[in-house]
Amino acid sequence: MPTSDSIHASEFALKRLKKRHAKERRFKAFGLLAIGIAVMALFWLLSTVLGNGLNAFIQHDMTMDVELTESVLDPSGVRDPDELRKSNYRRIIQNSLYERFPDVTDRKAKRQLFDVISSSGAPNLIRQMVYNNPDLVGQTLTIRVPTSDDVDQLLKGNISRDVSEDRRKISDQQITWVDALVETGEIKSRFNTGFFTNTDSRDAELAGIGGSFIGSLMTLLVTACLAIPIGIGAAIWLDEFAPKNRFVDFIEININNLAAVPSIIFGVLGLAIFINFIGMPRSAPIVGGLVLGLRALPTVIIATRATLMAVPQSIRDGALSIGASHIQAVFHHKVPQAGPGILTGSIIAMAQALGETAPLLMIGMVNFNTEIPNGITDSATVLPVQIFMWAGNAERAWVEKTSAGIIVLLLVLLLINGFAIWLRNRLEKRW
Amino acid sequence: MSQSKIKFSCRDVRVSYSGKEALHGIDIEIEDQGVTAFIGPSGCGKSSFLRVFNRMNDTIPGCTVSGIVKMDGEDIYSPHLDPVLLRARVGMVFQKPNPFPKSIYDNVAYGPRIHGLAANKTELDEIVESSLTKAGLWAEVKDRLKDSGTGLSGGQQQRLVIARAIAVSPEVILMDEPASALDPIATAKLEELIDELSKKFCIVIVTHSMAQAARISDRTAFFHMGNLIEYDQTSNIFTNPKDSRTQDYITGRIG
Amino acid sequence: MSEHIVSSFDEDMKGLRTELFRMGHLVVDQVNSCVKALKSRDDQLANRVHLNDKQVDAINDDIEERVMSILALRHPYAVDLRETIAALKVARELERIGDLAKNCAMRIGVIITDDKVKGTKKINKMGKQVSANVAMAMKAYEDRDTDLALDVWFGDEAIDDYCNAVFETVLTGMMADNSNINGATQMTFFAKNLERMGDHATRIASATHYVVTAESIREKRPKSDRTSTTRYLLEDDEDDED
Repeated sequence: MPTSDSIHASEFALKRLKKRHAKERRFKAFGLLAIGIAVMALFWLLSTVLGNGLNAFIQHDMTMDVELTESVLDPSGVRDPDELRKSNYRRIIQNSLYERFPDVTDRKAKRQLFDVISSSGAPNLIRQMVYNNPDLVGQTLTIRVPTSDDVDQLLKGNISRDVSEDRRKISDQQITWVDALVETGEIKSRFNTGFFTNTDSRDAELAGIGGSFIGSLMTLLVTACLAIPIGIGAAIWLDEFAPKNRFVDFIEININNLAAVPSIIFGVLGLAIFINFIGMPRSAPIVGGLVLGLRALPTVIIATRATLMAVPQSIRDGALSIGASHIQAVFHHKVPQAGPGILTGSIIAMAQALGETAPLLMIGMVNFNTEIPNGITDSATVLPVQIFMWAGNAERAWVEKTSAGIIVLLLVLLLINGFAIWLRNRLEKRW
Repeated sequence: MSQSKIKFSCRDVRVSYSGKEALHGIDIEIEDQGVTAFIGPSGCGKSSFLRVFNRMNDTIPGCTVSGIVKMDGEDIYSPHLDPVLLRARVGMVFQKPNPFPKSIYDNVAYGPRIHGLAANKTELDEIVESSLTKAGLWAEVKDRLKDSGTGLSGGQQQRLVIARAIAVSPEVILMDEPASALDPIATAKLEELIDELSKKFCIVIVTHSMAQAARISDRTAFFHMGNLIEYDQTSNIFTNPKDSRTQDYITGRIG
Repeated sequence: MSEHIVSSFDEDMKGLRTELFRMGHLVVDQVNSCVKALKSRDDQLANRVHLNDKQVDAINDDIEERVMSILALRHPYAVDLRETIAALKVARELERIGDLAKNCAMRIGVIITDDKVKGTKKINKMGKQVSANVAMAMKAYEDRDTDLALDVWFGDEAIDDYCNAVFETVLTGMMADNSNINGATQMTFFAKNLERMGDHATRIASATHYVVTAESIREKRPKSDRTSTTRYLLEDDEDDED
């Protein structure tokens, strides 16, 4: 502490000191407040998404015995698989249900009973089984079929039993049946594997992200093939080989500008060039990948340049000074040193591309696909667009799907970014 | 001083950075034998001039060199001369030790590899061993050639860089303030090494330390504001400089 | 000469210089007193010269220490290095001159008891010349005056001539009358000592020349002193310089 006669101990000085400390405390408080707001917003977002979406990973299905009656399915007895595909599997399911509840005779009641299970999911399941193995006809199978989305929602408590019958999508009669089936253990909740393997569907209980996930992978593959090699190459050229002139400066400035261009503009570009001019197929991962590749290009270039510039010049000089050529000095020494940074930069650019939605809407990747795409020229959609499409449906079951899709997307992004961080910490050189 | 061959002969050498002249016409002859030291205050152009001899200035954007620089009578700025080959003949050691972030072995082996100096692994091993031995580092690192070169101490790193330079059998070794990042003991070892190397190589060293120039060099050139002020036997420079600017600089007076 | 960036270096050099000048003045005084004591047959003054020599030795030790510290701590180069080394040299020469003055002073007691000794006039002249030369050497050093230093250098020839003359006179006197042999012997030593003081003065002049020009005085030091070869019978005047 200053002695009492020091100018730093005067009353004025002490007052000032107090003020300075107060200023510091105020700044810290503002910082904490800002962080607090951010954390709360994040918490609210996550809790909403998790609250809405976690249930989608659970689904109720019903175990039932179905008799594959030959007279219904294959009256001719030829067992021709193509003929078998056209058979009336609905009838088989219905028969099985009527057998389970013999006292249901009324036509309307019968239809309500059938609505307890997934009305298209169950017949399709059996159709596929019979198509794969026609010998099953005539046997009795025990199968598990998904319940209808309304029953599922009822059992998850999202449809209230307390409101009057005409204000809910499920009748009192249906509730009685469902309760009975739950009682006997015929309806049970299980982990919803279908959500990960199924493609999109009109029926919420059958809709899954399998198709859009594969679509995303294909799109990203194209993006990576385009953006990473060209981006890294461009960055190395700009950093080491580009002449220093106005033209190169102009290019550099515009690469930075390009990174800030709204992504939907890239979608317009893709539509105009790849689809209308070159004539590539609409809605295909190849076009989506190219568009996202152009979008990711500036990101990859900027990330690569940043890591290249972080490599000390002395390493390059060292190589040059013993007679390495320019390209040897760059590719033997500089690029390997920047490798980890380039890798993480590219991964993060890919993660960004994975979350991109708007440009893909422009090139028609927003479409209804019940088939998993077989190649990059097939019609496909991607994860975020799938979420976007589901978000447009009002039913409770779709809200759940939307949130579940978001959870999966976030988890994948978290994994990718986490991997990038891990890689960087592991490989990055300290100078 | 015995009569020695002239290694470098410079006539009116000018170096400019983006049009701004940093060296205003240097005439000097560097002898083949012994150590030549460049001294002078910061920004006097001594490092720029050192980089003239292996054309490292070529790698600096906006840097131009004019005048005539001859090495053994051959113009090293002639368009027919490949700077890559020149740099194999004129090695360089920098201020901050800059070993490659590779193994000690690979650091030394890199030059011979790119120049194809070894026909097989055995020959390469021999080059690595003899270079490290000449650099006075072999005894210290022979058991850990696979370890990273950046894990060595500063002095060892600098000797590793010297081993890397001599592995390509240069005729000249340029040193740009090689001891400025080293402690006194490492500096002493380096100076001893320079003394040893000067028997086989022509050595040109830029140093901030006048004491170092006095200790290790045979001839000293004093640069000031882009001019070569005085060039003489080191003993003359340090006991009886002819120019008052040299005198003021080496005696620590405001020049 | 402009100042060092490190001002304490300047202070060190200034301190060394001041101390050396002080020693110079003291030694010049010693030589003067010594010559004066002989001329005025002042035994007391001679005694004082004897006693003062301790002071000269003390300053010499101090200068040696200062030089050591400057060399160790300041690493002087060029003109600083030359001055530091010259200071050491000059101090040693001064210390020798001081010793010779003391030695002379010790002989004065014997010389003045013997009034039959010949050559008093000549030795007084010689003493005046030597003390002037020593003073001039120091002045040349202080003022960095190479011309004056050269004067000192060439002035030594005259001293050597005086010395030869004193020897001849005293020896002749001794041969004529051996009763004064005691005083006469001391007189020759006195003369020889004075002559050697002159030699030391030329070395100071040489150091001055070195500090300023970094070159030693090239010409061979003038040497006309033949006392070491002066024979009794003086039959041989054509002896060689050594």
